Amino acid sequence: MQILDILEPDINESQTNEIAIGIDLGTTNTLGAIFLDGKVEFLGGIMPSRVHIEGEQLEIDYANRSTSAYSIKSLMGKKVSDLSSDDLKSKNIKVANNQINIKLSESEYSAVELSSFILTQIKARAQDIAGHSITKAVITVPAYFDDIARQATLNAAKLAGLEVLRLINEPTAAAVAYGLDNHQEGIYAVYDFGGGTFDCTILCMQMGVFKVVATAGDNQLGGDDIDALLMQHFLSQNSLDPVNDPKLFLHLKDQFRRVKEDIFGQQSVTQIIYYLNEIFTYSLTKKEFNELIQPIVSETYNLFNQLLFESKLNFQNLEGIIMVGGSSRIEVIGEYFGNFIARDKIYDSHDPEKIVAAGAAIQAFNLANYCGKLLLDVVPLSISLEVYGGLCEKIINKNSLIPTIVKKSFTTHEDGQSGIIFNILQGERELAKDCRLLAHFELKNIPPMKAGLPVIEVEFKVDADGLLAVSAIETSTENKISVEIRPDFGLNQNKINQMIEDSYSHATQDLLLKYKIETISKAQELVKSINRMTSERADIYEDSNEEKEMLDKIKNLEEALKKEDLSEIEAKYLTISSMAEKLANKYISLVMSSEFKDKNLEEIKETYLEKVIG
Amino acid sequence: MAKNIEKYTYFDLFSIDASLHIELDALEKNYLNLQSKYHPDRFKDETQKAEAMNVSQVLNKAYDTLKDQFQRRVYLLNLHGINIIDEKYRFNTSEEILSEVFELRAKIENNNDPDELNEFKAFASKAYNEMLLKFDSLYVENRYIDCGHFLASALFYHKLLEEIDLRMSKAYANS
Repeated sequence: MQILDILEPDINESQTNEIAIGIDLGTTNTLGAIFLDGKVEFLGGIMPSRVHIEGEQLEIDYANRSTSAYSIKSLMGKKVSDLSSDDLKSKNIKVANNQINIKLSESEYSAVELSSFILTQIKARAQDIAGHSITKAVITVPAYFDDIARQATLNAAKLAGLEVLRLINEPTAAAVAYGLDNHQEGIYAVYDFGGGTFDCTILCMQMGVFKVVATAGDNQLGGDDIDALLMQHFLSQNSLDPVNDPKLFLHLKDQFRRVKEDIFGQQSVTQIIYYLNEIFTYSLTKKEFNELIQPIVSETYNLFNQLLFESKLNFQNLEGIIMVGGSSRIEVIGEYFGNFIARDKIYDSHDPEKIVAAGAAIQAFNLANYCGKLLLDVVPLSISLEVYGGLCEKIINKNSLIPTIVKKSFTTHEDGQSGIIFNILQGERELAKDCRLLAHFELKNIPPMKAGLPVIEVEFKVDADGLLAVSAIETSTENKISVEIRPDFGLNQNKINQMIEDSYSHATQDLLLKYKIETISKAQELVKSINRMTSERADIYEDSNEEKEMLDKIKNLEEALKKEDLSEIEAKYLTISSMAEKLANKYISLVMSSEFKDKNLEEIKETYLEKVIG
Repeated sequence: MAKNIEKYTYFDLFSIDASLHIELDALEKNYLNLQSKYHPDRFKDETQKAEAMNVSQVLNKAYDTLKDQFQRRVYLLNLHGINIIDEKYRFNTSEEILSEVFELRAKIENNNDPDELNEFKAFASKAYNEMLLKFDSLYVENRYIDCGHFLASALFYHKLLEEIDLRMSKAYANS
């Protein structure tokens, strides 16, 4: 039966193939690729997703500076209330007017702006290789990214002058890349353990179509957590306090990323750790490492097994498991899956850090040229409306195929009611307050009628990028009122902002408290380290005047701390910090000259300082 | 005509008979065939792309609906003009069923024992399947209003089973 009488697809073989970039915009690294003459060409090497500022110029930070903005992706689409204490501790985050910004030198940037900068760098690499302007791209996102984070990614691309052909999910992109040289039909699972996110996806490859069956994940679970865990282990081993200074935190954590990388393929690793003007050695056997990371990798297995169960599948049904993301290299993970599935069904022959970009490039080519395998993805999280009593009524269930459309009818509850408020939520929880608020809009000017008479038809559409659009129409009368919204865009931006502001006034209080606690502990640490330095080296002060000045300042700060007066603590802390830095310098020189008598003092001092302060 | 896609029933779209039991393989094959042909990614012209988007959305909705045995029954009743979400069906479930579902709900809440959950699941499945069987026998007799009442009651078990599954997947993953 010919139901759909539309023209045959546009496939014009003679047309010159258009180039579009595939971009894996990762938490830790970013990589671009293009599909040229039937093969994937990577745009240079892997680029760190870290941005620093040089003068007034943003630059990609290739040198792991402790002053750069990093893990920017984990802030995409985040609201102030979503910030964790770790975010505040580890990043130079500034919050003003419910905007989250990252501070670089004297300037502040949003996560969208910084992501956009990374994208412009990839775009520039592509244009260099192609020799002409390129404006189209496919960008990958974690499958579990919610609508707001997807919109933020789209905005970053727009800002970078890129037309996004499609946002595709990272696990799906990886499957596309493997699909190139593997035509075995069947059900595949993707295990994608990246720097900052974990995703797993089950998809079915049949009749030249990739159809996603189900997806699950955790956007706050990644290799970074392993680095932090090792760091924690080191701190407690040496009875050291938690690190509250973002610079120090990053500098220290980076050293443990190296530990994690070095232990790959080894039975044990020993590394020198530079921290708080001291040199430590940190040794770890493979066995200890595996035990330490057990809680984190177990969490990934749980999510993976849960997804299999929910999809009514088991390992025997799988044609293969595709391993994606740098953290999937950890040997113990491969060993785990080896218990359930034949080794040759674990697909890890492609570089797990490049596979997503490769798949994105292939799909970018397909979309720009209207050819190739078709990708059918799903909604990762259910979309609901808040109904009476603060409950969620599911409108689009998770794992529904996209694009999709759902219509629902609503009516009024009171005679003469002239408006209805809609809160649109995303998440699996039952109560609206536990789900993510995507958007809020009000349908006004409903003609006065008896309760239950007006018919308000609400249409929910999710497009192929996984983005939601909602519109509403009152249909019972001649006067049709319609309102269309797109979360984060759309007509009701002001209203959405107001709503967000209202709901976060409470969160701001929490944030202030966090900030206060952080400042107090920072000040306490400073006092502690000055006392430690002076007790070790009595000759640290130039003269007794300097000593007295310092002691007075410390006394003032300690008094402010006792009173817990935030502004006073901040003021006293400022007066002390530059002097403390000078003391630290002197201290290092003194320690150095006694410890490294034979070496070139300035040279050692410089490298040492760089390592301590960054 | 793509513009008229909404005139066709979901069954028509996939060229399968509008009945209680369908060939899932045929559904899958026809679905993939149609998507391969009419997905918006296959079109360059903006007007065609928009039309194809509309088609693709309906195909996905239709496929998701027919694939699921419960949603398929809800849809069949819709074709006969009966919407089980209507109050006259929704609020007409017997006290007996409601209190049973309520009791089971309380038992599975925060329950992480796979064996107990399995037991509750078997119990709820039995009740649910009996209702569907009853539904099917009424359906072939064209007693659609009675069908509506049964399906509305079965919805309580349907949701309960979803919840038990969610609980079980958590218990299973952690064991």
